[in-house]
Amino acid sequence: MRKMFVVLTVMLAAISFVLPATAQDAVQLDVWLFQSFVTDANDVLEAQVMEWAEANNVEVAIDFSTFGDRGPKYVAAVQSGELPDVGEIDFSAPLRFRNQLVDVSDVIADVTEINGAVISNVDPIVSADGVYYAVPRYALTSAMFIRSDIMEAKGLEVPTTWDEFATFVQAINDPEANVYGLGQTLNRSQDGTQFLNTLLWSYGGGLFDEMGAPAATSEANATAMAYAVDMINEWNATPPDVMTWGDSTNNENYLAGNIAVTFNGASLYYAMVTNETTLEDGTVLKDNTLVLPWPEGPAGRVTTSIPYSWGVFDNGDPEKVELAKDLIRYLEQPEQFNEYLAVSVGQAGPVYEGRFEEAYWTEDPNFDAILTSIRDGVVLGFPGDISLAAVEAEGRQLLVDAAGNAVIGGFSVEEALELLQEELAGIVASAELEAGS
Amino acid sequence: MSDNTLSMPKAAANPPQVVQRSRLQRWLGTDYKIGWLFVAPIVIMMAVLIVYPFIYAITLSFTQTRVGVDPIFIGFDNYIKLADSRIFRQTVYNSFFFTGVAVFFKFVVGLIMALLLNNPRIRGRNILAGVLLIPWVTPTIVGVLNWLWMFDFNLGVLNFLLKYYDLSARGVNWLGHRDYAMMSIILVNVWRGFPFFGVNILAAMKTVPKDLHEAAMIDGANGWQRLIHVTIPYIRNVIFITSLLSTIWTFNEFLIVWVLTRGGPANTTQIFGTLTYDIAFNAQQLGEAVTVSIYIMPFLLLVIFLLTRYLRSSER
Repeated sequence: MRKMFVVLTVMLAAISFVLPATAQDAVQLDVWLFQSFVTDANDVLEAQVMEWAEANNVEVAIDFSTFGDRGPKYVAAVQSGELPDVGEIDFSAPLRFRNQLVDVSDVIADVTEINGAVISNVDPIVSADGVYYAVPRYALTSAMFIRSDIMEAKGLEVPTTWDEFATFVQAINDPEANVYGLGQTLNRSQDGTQFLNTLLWSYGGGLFDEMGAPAATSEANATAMAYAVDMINEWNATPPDVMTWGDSTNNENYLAGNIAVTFNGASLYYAMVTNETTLEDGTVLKDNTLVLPWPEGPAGRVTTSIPYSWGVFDNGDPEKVELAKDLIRYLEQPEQFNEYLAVSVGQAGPVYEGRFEEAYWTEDPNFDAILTSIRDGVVLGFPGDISLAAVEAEGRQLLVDAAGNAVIGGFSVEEALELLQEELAGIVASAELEAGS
Repeated sequence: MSDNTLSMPKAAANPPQVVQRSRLQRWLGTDYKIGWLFVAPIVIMMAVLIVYPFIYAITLSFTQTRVGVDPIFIGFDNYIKLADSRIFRQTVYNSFFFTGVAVFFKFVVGLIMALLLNNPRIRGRNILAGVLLIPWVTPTIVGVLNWLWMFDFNLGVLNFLLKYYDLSARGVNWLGHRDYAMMSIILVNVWRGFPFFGVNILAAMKTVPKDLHEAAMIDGANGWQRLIHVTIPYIRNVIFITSLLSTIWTFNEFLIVWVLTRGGPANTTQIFGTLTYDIAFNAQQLGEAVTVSIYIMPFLLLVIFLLTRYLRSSER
């Protein structure tokens, strides 16, 4: 009995010694992915990562985080030094986390050879001085959603300029029927910031000038901001609680049939297509929705470009860096990307020239607006380059705060912009201090 | 030296082996060496969890530290910048207003709760106690999300009731109006926090000697007079300590405001917790964010000092 016990103990010890050794043969790679609203696309991406991991004998730990959680998570990771090996990053990360990101110019060379060049308005976001810090994957853009059935019933035509838009929204407004003309917030949210930036730019303004200096008090900004404030306070065409809305509230209201017009990303279209959303009166929402480019302003039509990219982080292990790069090359192959694209319902906008030619984008006329918006896209800091100050101003939500001050805070538009200018000056001074140190 | 000089007693001249201890050692007691061993865990824990982060935070506040970038020493610039910031000044006002009003109403509602549960004439007090404790035992996020739905302009139950009973034609813009938004977050904070007052006050009320009430009744005091002149003076220590604790927690509130308004609209509900988060995670300026927290510290230290003093005096 005693002998048997000793033998068993030795066997167990041997097994426990061998097992971890086998597991250690596979390199472990931490992969952070964006958990988008398009759940089918999340599943496809996860499956592709696992497929690659199996083929390359790599153990992958996938960590999904939602749109709102991603930023704080990366902040904590960077500060603690506990970074993933590779992850999806937002448009600001290649600039903000440049010290932590690995040069991926070699991957860019391979990926662009297959997919075509990085489009011109995305390239400056992921590169600096000829070095690429991220590999673009797709662009989330936004477009104008209009209820075509209501528009036709009222004998209206699609607005193409902001002036026409003002008339259109007030004409389509029907609060008695619980359908407000416009569902657009200026509250603290990405939707609010995106709308205001787009409006300011299309009027020839912007928070910064071409040299990156604060330019909040320009005449163009004052005109555009006055337009935005009137939109809420004077047109009587937005739901009364619109200044409480977050990023998803306009989606909910559009899908509930409460608003006739809104600006949103393709996630709204994905929701109505996937869920076959039907309103109480039997209206099939997808069949009665037009997705259109943003209206033009005096300075033309400009939208916000929000490209998402892959970032490889330097964790001091060259083998992991190479594996991470290999994973990106694999995922950006046409076969893999098109599988992802097929279930994305317009969410994965092209960031390489070649991807504009994919047959997928001709399947639905509403996709035209998505492609147009991506082509029209500019980045924070416009008309100058993307900068730390521009990214910080967006993070602090200063533009929406200025609008909020004018809409409900009792400030005039000029006062709100003066205040904004002061805040921007402080941010620029901090950025200059950092650059000079 | 004369012969008359008093000679030292033998014992003193050649003292026994008595260990000479310093004043500090005498104060620490004979077993002070082993004492160090016993207090070491808590000393280490405090050093790691409180002293180090505190010193680190102070150091950080004198720097411009963008996430992922080396800190730059800037002296008192963060303090000056915040003092000049309109958003920060508004945040200071909001935080004190929010805390003051919320703690006051939590006390009032908690007192009413305690009076109800302490009244033997009220039937079903056990059930009532259970119901009144629901806000406290419900996970905060669940409760706040329910409030978010109730405050919804179109779909919320509050506006439905207002319209149903013809109290308002269109409903109230609970979270979108500069005044109502602050009122709404205070309401939710009071809802969440009044049971803490209620439970503590109730427990204290149970300790009030009956003969005090009986004596007051003989003197002709009615219920209100007995509450003001007997009960409240008797339980004032509990009320004070509960209020101080609640003040600290309310001052550090984050979740309720973040879920309901995110500090908006136009910073009208911005408080210290949400502003710190905004600057740290969205603006990614850690030095400035930590300075916001350090600005609150004198006030919180005062509250903690009062609390500790009161607790120690009540121990005596």
